[in-house]
Amino acid sequence: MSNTPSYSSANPWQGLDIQSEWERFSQRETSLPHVWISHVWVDHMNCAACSGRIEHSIKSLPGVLSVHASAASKRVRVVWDAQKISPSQWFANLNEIGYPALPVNEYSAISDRTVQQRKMLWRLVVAVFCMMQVMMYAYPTYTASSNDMAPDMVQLMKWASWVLTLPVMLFSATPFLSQAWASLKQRQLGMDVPVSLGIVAAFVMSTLATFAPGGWWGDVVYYDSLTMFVSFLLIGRWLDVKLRNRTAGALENMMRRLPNAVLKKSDAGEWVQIAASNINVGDVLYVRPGEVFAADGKVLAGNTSADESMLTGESDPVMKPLGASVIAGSGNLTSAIEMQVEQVGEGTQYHALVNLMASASTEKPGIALLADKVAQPFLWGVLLAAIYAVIYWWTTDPAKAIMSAVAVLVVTCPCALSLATPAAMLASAGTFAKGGILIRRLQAIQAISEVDTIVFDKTGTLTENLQQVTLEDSHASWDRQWILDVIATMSRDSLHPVAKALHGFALQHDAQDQLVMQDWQEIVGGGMSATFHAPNGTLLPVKLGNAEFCGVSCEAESEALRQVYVTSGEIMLARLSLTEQVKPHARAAISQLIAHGLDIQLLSGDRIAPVKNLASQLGIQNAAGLQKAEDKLQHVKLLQQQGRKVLMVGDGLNDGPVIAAAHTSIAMGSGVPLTQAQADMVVLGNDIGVLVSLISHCKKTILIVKQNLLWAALYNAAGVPLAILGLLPAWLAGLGMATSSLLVLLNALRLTDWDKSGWQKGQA
Amino acid sequence: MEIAFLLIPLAVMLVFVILGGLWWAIQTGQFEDLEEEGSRILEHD
Repeated sequence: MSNTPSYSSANPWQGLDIQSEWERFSQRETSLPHVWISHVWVDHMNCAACSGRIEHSIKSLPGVLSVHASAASKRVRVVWDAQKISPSQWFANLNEIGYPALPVNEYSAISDRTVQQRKMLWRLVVAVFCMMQVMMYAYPTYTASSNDMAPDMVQLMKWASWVLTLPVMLFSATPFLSQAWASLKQRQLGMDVPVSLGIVAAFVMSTLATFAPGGWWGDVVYYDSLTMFVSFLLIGRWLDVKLRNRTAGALENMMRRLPNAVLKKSDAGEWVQIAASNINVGDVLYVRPGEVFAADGKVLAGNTSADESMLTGESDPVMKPLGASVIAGSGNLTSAIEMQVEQVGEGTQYHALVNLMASASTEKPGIALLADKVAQPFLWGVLLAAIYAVIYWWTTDPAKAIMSAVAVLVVTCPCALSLATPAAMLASAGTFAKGGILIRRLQAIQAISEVDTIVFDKTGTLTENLQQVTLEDSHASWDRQWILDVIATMSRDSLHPVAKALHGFALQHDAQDQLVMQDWQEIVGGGMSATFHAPNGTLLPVKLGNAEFCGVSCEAESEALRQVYVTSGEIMLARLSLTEQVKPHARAAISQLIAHGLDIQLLSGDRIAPVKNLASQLGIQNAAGLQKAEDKLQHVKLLQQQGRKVLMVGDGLNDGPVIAAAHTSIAMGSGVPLTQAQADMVVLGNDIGVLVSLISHCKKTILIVKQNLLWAALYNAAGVPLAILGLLPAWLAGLGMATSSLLVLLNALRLTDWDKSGWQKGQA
Repeated sequence: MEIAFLLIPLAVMLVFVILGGLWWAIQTGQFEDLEEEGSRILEHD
């Protein structure tokens, strides 16, 4: 960068000092109008020691009332007084101590989720705590013989239980009651209707027994069963909210990345700070190292490298020379640049990725849709069974009639049934997200568990990005070491992966890359040319590149992926070949997959010889080269006609129809631009070994879903007749319901434990 | 056993006091980050 922006002496965060700007990441403290609570995302805060330093440093600023830094979420909560300090001051302070901060702009969404989770926990705590107290007063009535306790003491305990049940009814149980009411108003039968009927009936019966004992309703109270029932229902709901938030957490990490304010070149040529929401296509922005690109665009001045790992799975920094495109959400690493904006907001790749992840978390898998379909007739069945129980017992004992109906309603509570699928799916999705696997459609879990054939549609999935170089041939009358020096010098300044591989290879063989070189030129898609002083003193024009570029007429047959020539005029100085290197775990992964009965095939667009060579190295029987998209499609269709379920693994990019035709698909390998990947799942990173454990984990997930559904169905089938016959007291029905729900959830939680190293034990 | 007539109402009131305490704990986020706070004291510089 030749021109230094004019703001350099001023505080770069001054743009945040406008109230409308800081409102985007802050909340007003309700009691004090000029005190604000701000949330910022802090980079490099990786341990508790860092958070301690941040807190200590910011707290010492006048006007900052309190600071809380959490290394786990990389977030800092600052409470500050707008009359004494401005946000830019403490932002600058954070930067000075080495922790550059970004405002958390989606503050409201995060806060909504936190509020929701806290409220659910609070309902649960109230219900459980009151339940424990009610149990204490219920216990003597179960154990004491009839004349052990004075009647007024029994009555006092009933009143105490009633008082403790009130908060449970009026506060903890309201989600069920209000949802039941809402679905009744829409003339629909929701899951909460029978549950609420049971809760209300039990409460009314017990209240009558407490305050007007001796009627047909008898004098038995059911506060213990009631509070327990509500508590266990709430445990299920709370776990559900937690599971959801855990998955949403991965999404939140993504959304937090974009900066709030950027530096834009004004018409007068000065750098001004504007809100990121005001960026327009065509704007020129200044991006410092450590900052995140706010929009898609291209480099207009400067030369840097970017960290795109979050968007592409490529963990190495990507070079961004003049004119290269940069993507929103990636980080600027090495030096400051100017960029011209080409895409903003919804149009960026980053937004496409966020949408992709958001849609995956809301979509219902097929097996869950089935459960929803079954639910309606099931709920009607439950209501009819309850009515039947009332009619059956009414003439002999009205109190028993009502409580049998309550028992039916409670024991059939379809919590377990409705939790069975989502709990398992969400647990797996969350686990996958932590392990760097994004799920675009939850159905994919089911689909992957069913596959019997895996087709790799690119050799790049199985091989390293780095290519292995061998010097095949060098001209006998030229000094071999000098030729290597020439290769090293010519390839030194190129960013092309092949040139990088050549440079590395030459240096390994003790070459010098500092020869005197003139007129160096790089021709895209060809190679490089330059002029050297030959050892005998003459000027020698040299070309380094592919056969066409170097004027080599007949290319030698080879299993190599690519051949590179060094020529000078008609003389061929050297011939090098580049081969792909098999990824370290690829062989083990493939043999594991084959051992588990999966048929592995390789279809590649590359030349036949290298494809066959790779297949034999990996032990793949079925491999074909020179495959165009149509050929691949034909092949997949043929497999499907044989009744096979095909999983495509590739970069998920150029084979749209093939991916659409296949049963399911996984995109993997570094450098996959996620946003364009059409695959059902995307594996970030480069480790092919993950594929094995991914497939086995999907199988395990479906196994657990089936176990859960079977268990829930069995439990309901056994419970209903017992409840109608009056053999199941309400408390036992509640306990059974709760146990079955908990079993389902605990079974699902087994899926959060994921061994990435291979096929999981205990699986077919 | 007369004392129970005093103790039971007292216990019920105590429940509401304790619930108040739990409400404060939840609203200030005491249960949101259970792993980190435990290791904080060990890593402080």
